[in-house]
Amino acid sequence: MRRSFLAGVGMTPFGKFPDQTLGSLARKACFEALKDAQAAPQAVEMIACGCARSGSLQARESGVGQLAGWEVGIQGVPVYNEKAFCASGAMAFNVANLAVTAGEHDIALVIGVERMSTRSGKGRPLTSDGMVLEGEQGFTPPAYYAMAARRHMEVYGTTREQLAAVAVKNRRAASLNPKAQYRDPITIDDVINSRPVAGPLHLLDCCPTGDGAAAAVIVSERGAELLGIDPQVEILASIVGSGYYANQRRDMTTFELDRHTAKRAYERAQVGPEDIHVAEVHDSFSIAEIIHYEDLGLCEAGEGGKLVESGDTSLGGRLPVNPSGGLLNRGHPLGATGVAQIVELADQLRGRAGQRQVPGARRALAHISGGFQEGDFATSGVTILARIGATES
Amino acid sequence: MIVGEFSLGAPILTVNESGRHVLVGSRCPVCGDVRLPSRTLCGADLSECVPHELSGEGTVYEAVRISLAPAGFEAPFWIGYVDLAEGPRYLAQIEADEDAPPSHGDRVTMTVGRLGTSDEPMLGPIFRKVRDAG
Repeated sequence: MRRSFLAGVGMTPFGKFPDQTLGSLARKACFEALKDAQAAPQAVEMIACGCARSGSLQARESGVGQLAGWEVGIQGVPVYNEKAFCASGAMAFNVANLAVTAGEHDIALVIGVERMSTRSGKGRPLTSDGMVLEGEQGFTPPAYYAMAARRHMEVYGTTREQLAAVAVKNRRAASLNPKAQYRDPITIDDVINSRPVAGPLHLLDCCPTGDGAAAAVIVSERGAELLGIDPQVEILASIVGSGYYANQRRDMTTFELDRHTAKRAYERAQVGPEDIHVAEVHDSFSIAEIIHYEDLGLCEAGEGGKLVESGDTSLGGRLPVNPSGGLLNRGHPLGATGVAQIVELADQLRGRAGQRQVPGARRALAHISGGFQEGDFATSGVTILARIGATES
Repeated sequence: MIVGEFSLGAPILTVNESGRHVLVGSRCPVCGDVRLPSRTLCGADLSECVPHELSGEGTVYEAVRISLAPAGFEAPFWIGYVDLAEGPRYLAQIEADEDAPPSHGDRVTMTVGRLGTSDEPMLGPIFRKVRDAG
C-alpha cells in the first residue's frame, strides 16, 4: 500500500444560501482545493463525491460528482458518487484514498456537497433515509439521540448541564470560524432554555440544516511530484464500516460500530488516542460528542460528560474537539460535513487555522457516523491525519 | 382500514383467528432468532425465516417525550424502544400520562391506534404501561 497525502483543501461558508445550487457550492469548494493543491483540472485523475439527499431534496439523484467536475473543467475521469447519510463525505474521502493508496490513481479530488435550506417541511426535524417504518411512528434522529442521552444520564449520572456544555464549547469555537453557520456565543442557560425537541435535547443541542460544500485533493508521492508540491499532511488511516445488527438489545450508552472503526483506524495509523492533538467529532446532537469521546477512547466509558465539563476538549485545553464549531455550529450540510472535518484538520495541522489554531497540533482525528439500520447506525468513518514528520516524533 | 402495513409492503400487525390484533415478526427455524419487522433470510445463518406471532408484551428500554414533532405528527407524544418478550427491540409510540412518563424497565403491552403520516387511516402498534396490580 502506498502513502497518501492531502495536497489541498477548500470549502464554502456553511449556512442557508437560497441563491446557491449544488453546482455553485461544489464549484467554489473544488476551485479553492485545486488552487491550494496547485492542481489544474486536467491533472485530476478521479473524483469521489459525497452527497446524501440530493434526490429527495434537490431532484438530482445521480451524478452530483459529474456536475462538480463539470463546474471546474474536469472531464474523462471516473466519478464515484457516495451516498452514506451524514457520512457521505467521509465515504467519498475513503474511496479516493483507497484509489490513491492502491496505486490506481495519483491525484484524486474529493468533494462533499449538500443543499438543504430549500427543502420541504422546514422547521421540522428531518427524517432519516431508510427509516420508513420508524418514521411513520414518529421517529426522528433527535429522538434516537435523546434516548441515548436519557440512558447515559440514568446509567452514568451525566447531567443536563454537561450536555449543554458541548453546545456552548462548540459555539465558542465557531465564533472564531468565519465559515461557521452559527457564531454568536451562547450560555448553558441559553441551551437549557431553548425550545424542547425530544427528551432532554433542546433546540441548541441539535445541529442545524444548511447548505455548503467542502473539497480535498489527495495525492500519492508521485502525484505530489506531478503537481510540483511538497504536501504537509499525510493520511495515516481512513476507515469506514457499517452497522452491527446481530444483537438487538444494544446498550445505547455506547455505539459499538464507532468503537470498531476507531480501533481499526488506530491500528492502521499505529497511533493511540493519547497521540491525538486535535479532533473533529460527530456532534449532530450534544450527547453524541459525549458518547463519541468514550467510543474513540478519549476517555473511559461514562466519563464523557466530565471530560467536556473539565475544559480539556475546549480550545486551549489538552485535546480540543471540534475547533471548527462542529456539526452543531459550523453546520451540517450532510454530504459536505465529512470533508469539512478534513478541511478543518488540514488547516490545523498546517498551522493556518487563525484564531482557533491548536498550537503545535501534529496528529488529528476526524470521526463521523451516519444513518440508521435496524436500531444501529448505518455508517461510521474515522480518519487520522499527521503533519509530515510527526510520525517519527 | 389498512392494518399495520406502513410503507414496508409487508404487514407487521395482523388479525388472528380470535379477532385480536397481533404483531407478526419472523423466526429463524435454525437459530431461533426473532425479528420485528420480519426478515426473509436469517442474518446469522441465511436460513429462510418463518412468520412468528408475538405476545405484544415487553419492557421499555428507553423512551423520550417528543416536543417538536416531525411533519404529520402532533406533539407531545412519547416514543421509545420496547424490548419485546420474544427478543426483538421495537421502536413505537408509548401512551403515557404526563405525570407517569414511561421509563427504562417499565412493563408495557401492545394496543393498536392510528399511526402514520398519510391521509388514509392506518392501524399500528402502540404500547401502554401495564398498571401494577392493586
